[in-house]
Amino acid sequence: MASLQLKTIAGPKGQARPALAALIAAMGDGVSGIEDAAGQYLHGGPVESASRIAVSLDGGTIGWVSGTEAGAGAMAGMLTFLAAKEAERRALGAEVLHLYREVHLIEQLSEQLSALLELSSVGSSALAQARRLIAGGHGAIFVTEGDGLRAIAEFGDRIDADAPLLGAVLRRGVAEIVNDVETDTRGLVDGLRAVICVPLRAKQVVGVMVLANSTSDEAYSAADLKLLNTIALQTASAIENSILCAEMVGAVRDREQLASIQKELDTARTIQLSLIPRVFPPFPDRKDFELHAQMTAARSVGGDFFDFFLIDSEHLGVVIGDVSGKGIPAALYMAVARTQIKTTALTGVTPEECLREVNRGLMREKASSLYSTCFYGILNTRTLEFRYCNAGHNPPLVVRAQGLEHLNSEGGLPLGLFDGLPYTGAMVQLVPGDSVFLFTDGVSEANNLALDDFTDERLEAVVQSLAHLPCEELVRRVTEDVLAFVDGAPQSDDITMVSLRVLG
Amino acid sequence: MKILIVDDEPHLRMLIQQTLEDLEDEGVELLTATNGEEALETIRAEEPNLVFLDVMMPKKNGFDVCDAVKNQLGLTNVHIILLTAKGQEFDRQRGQEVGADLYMTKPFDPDALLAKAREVLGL
Repeated sequence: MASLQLKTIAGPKGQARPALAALIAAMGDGVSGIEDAAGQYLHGGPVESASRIAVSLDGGTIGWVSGTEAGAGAMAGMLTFLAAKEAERRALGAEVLHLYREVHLIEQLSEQLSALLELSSVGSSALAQARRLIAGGHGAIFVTEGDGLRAIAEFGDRIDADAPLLGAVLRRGVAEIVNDVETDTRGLVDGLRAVICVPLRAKQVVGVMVLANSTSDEAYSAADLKLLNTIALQTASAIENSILCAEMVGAVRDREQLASIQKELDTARTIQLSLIPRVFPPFPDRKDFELHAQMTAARSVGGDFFDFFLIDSEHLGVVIGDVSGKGIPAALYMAVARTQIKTTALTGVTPEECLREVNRGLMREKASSLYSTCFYGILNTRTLEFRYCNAGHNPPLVVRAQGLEHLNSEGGLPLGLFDGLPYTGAMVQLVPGDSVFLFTDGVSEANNLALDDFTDERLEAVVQSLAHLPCEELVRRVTEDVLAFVDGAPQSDDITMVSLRVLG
Repeated sequence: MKILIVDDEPHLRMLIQQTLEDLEDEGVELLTATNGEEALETIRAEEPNLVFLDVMMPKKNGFDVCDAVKNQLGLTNVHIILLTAKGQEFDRQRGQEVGADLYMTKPFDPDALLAKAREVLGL
C-alpha cells in the first residue's frame, strides 16, 4: 500500500483544504506553518521561535505544525487524528479492493470454465486463477481415476498423487491446511512447508486441488481456504461437465460405429436376398407343376435359403436350408453352400450323392464352426416320383387329398459338421394335386411376445386347412397366419417356406 | 498529472481510487467527482490527463459530460474512459460520437484498469 502523505490530508502546497484554511485563519497566529515529512512547507512558512510539533501516524512522523505551543499542538493533534482516520479508510479500501479482485477473478473463472470442455484446460485455467488469488509456489489439480488420482494440471514441483494427505481429503471430502508439513506424518514432498488441499466436490467428490509453499513464512490462512474452496466448487462442476461430455462424445462415437456396422449388415442382407430366386412363377411355361416360395427376412442377417432349378426338362430340383448362426459369416456361408449345391445338383446326381458331395466340399474349405441344414428333393415331372435327401432339416410336409404326411427320413446330419458322413435318400410317389410344403424352423419356432412357439402342430393344421389354395396363396396365407401369431414380437429368425404342387 | 474518477456510487469511487493508489507515489493526483455536473466543473478547472467516467449517472450522464468536454470545450487531450455496467447495453455509436477514447465494463478488472491508466499517462 502506498504511504500516506500529509498533503493528502492537508492539501497540496499552497492549496490547503478549504476547511483547514478557514480553521488556520480563525486561529490567527496559532498556526504559522505546516511542513511535510521532507520539511517542505505545504502552508505558511518558517517563523522565528515558533514551536514545532510532529504530526504522527503509526509511530512515525509524516509532518510538522509550527506556531504557538497551544495552536500548533491543537492543529498537530487534529491532523494526527485525521491521518489515523484516513489510514483506516485506506486499509478498509484495500481490503474491499482485495475482495473485489477476488470476486472479479472468480467471476472470470466461471466464465472461462463454462466455455471449456477439455479436462486439462479446465484444470489449468482453475489453477492459474487460484495462483492469482492465493500465494503458492507449487500446485496441482487431481481427478479420481479408478482407485487413484491423476493430475490434470500442475505447476512448480510435482506433488505426489499418492500422498496420504490427498487421499485423506478425497475420502473425507473435507479441506485441510497443513502449515507444518515437516511434522505432519502425511507429508507430501520434500521441501514443502505449507500446504492447502481442498476436495473438488460437484454431485460427488471428483478430485482434489492443492497449493503449496516452500517457505514456512508463507503459511495459509482460513481466508485462503475459503477462497480456494470457492474456486474448487466452480472447478468441480466444470470437471464433472467435462467428464460427462467426454462420455457423451464416446457414446455418440460408439453409436456411429454401430450405425456403420448396421449399414454393412443391411448391405450383406441385400446381397443375400439377391441370391435367392425372386421371380415368380419361376417357370411360367410349365403347366405340370406350380411353385411358390417366400422368405420374410429377420432384421438381422439370417441364414435361410431356398432354390429351385430344372436339371433337365423332366427333373426339377428344390432346395431349402438354414445356416447356423447369423450375421455376415452366416450370409457368406449360405452363399457358398447354395452355389455348391446348385453346381453339384446340375450334374444330375441323386439328392444323397449331391449332399454327400457338398458336405465334402464344405469340409474341405471349412474355415468356421458354421454348418447348414439342407433338404434337397428332385421331382420327376413325368413319373411324379419325388426323390429327396434331408441333411438335418425340418421334415417337409406332403399335402394330399387324404391328409398330411411327413417326409421323415434319416437322410443325414447337417452339412459342414463332419467329413465323410453317409447321406441316404428316399422317395415318395406323388399324384396330381399333391403338394410338398417345405419350411425352416423360423416358421415353427416363430415367437409371440409371451415367447410361445408357433409349433409344428399349428403349422400342420394351418397348411391342411389351406391345402386347396394355389401355392402362391397358400404360402401368403400361412405367412400371414404366422405373423398374426407373432403379433409384433421382434422377429429373430427368417421365416421361409416353399410350396410345390404337381398338377399332372 | 491528474486522474479524475467520476461515479455516483461511493464504493466504486473508493475502489477505483484504491486501485490507482500506487500512482500517487509516482506523483499522480487523484481527484473525484460524484456526478456529471461536478465532473464537468473539475475537468474545466483541473484539466486532468485521464478521466474514468461512469455512464449511468443522475443529472448529467457520462455521454453528455464527454460530449461537453471533447466537443464543446474542445479539451481533446483529456483522455476519457467510459465505465459501463456489465450486461447493460452500451451504445458504441453514441460513445464514438461524443469522442470517448475507450470504454471498460464494471465490474472492472483492477489490474487492467491500473495498466490502462499507466499506459495513458506514459508511466
